[in-house]
Amino acid sequence: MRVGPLRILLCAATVVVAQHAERKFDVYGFLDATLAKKIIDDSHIMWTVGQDDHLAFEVTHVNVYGDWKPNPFMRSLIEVGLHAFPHGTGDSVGIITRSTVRILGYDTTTVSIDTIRAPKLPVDNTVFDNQDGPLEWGSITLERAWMDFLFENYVNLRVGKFITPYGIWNVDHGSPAILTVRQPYQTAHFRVFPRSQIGLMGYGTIYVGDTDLSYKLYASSGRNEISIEEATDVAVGGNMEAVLPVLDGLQLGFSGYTGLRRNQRGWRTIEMEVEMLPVIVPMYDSSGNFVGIDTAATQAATEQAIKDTLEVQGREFDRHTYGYESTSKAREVCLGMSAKLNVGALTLQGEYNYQHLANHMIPDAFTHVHAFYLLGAYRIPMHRHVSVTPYAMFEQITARGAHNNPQHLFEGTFFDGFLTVLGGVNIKVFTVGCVKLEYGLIKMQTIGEYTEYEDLYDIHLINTQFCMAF
Amino acid sequence: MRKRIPVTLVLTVALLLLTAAHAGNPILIVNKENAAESLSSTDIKRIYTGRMSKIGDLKAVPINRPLDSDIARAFLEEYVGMTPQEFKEFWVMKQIKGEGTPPMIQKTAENAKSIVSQVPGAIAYIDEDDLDDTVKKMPVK
Repeated sequence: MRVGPLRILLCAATVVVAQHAERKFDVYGFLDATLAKKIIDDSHIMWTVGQDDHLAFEVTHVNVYGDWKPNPFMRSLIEVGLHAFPHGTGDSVGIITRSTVRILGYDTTTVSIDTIRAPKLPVDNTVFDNQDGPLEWGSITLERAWMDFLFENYVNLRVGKFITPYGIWNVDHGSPAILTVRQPYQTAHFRVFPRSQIGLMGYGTIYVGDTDLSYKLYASSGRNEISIEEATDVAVGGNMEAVLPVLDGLQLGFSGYTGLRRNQRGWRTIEMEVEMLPVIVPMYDSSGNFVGIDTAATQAATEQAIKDTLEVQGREFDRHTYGYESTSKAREVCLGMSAKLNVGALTLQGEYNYQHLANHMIPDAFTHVHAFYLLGAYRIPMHRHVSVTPYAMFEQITARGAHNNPQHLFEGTFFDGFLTVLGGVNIKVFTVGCVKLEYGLIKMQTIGEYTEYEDLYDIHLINTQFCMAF
Repeated sequence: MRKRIPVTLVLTVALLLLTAAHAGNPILIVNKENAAESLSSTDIKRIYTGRMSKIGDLKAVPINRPLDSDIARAFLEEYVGMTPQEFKEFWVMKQIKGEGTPPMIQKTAENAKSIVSQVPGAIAYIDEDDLDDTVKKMPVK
């Protein structure tokens, strides 16, 4: 059957109109800057790990999203974080993970007038991560990069790097969407669940009357996002959520995850070599006559010249090689529950997350982490473009059996948990901007004889954050 | 002597009153190919808040009106349960979470009808006076 030219024209017009009906490509994002001050006792252990209590003012996040919808059946999202420091810069309380550069060995050459060949010097540039996620080298972090294949409301497929679907805070993600300056530690730092995954996820929603029931099931490369060496390296997890028409909305969620927590060491090696003549420093007598070579000065000058050359070579990126090493594996199982209730202007929210982590050094030994928080907030509209929301949050994290577990951050310490309380106000302006003023107190919890010194380990945090979505 | 009120003035006032009355009662319109006989108010809220992506077999394409307009305010308050300001904030947060982009905005009823008439899954709202036979009115149950 011939398709008439008029029908072709109508189809083309429909496609054109459909394309205009939804914008195919969007760019948006958010940025925030934080003024942070820590108040800690002079005896605090934080001083020994490179922390300080200076007033810190940083641009903490610049995240840009690229959102592409080529047709009604596909979508992709890329979220890129731009940072000033390696490994994604500091968090909003001014803690910065720095890289250290050490020259591992330097062989002082014997001075002679012959050509000097300096040995190849490996340079260890190790970035110390928070042991809860993959190492990220650059000043650009890939927060998310996934593509969706959209079928029905009740079944869709996501492939790529996505945020682990658990709880409320981890999914909320960006500063304009988050009420407080600081996320709960169980989400942002001592991550009970992994923050993100690289893998495949099936998801969908079914509607039962006025109730939405959603599910997400995924398989991934796990917490550290490194290569899958064996089938048991594959991590799996899921989330179920119900949105119920109770009061002004009740959201309940249940999450689970299991995978191998792999200790990871990453390194960068810079191969450099020097071949040069020594820098001769002559000696003269009082009459200005040459009397010989100043050996010590020549050695010093030559070493300096070698170092100057190495510095230049170190900045040549084709000399850099990178490596990862998975040194140990321990099975972890994470379970979580979350609830959020809206009653008019009042929001009540809480999560409980549990982690069961094997100790790969000691058979049948495990670490149990219990973490929960409660948050309350009340929104007060002040003006057409301004609203003020005071809030308060309480959080408790306890880790039992962590001191001898190399997979846990508390390993080798005398801490077994901490409690935090914080309160503040979120001032939202013109929909896209906000200013947050917040005070927080972290009380470290210790074991054994250290209990009487617990007050010395208090940390007071005063934060002001400015954020904007664009 | 009694002054006669100009007819044009009477008609203008009547027209203004009628318009004002209908700006508070937006009606939903869909493409004529849309087989759904009605939509629940919950489903309308789901569509405009990005929680439902399909209406039957059709990819839902919700269309909004300028958020400072009376008709948008009336629609959002009645069917979505949000003021225009809250709706804007809701979608800012949803974008940051990576859950989608807000419904497109069409300034006039004519533009909205034009898209709805040509895109099978499109859904929009207009004043009842603007309804014509290019689109189908969708009852809300």
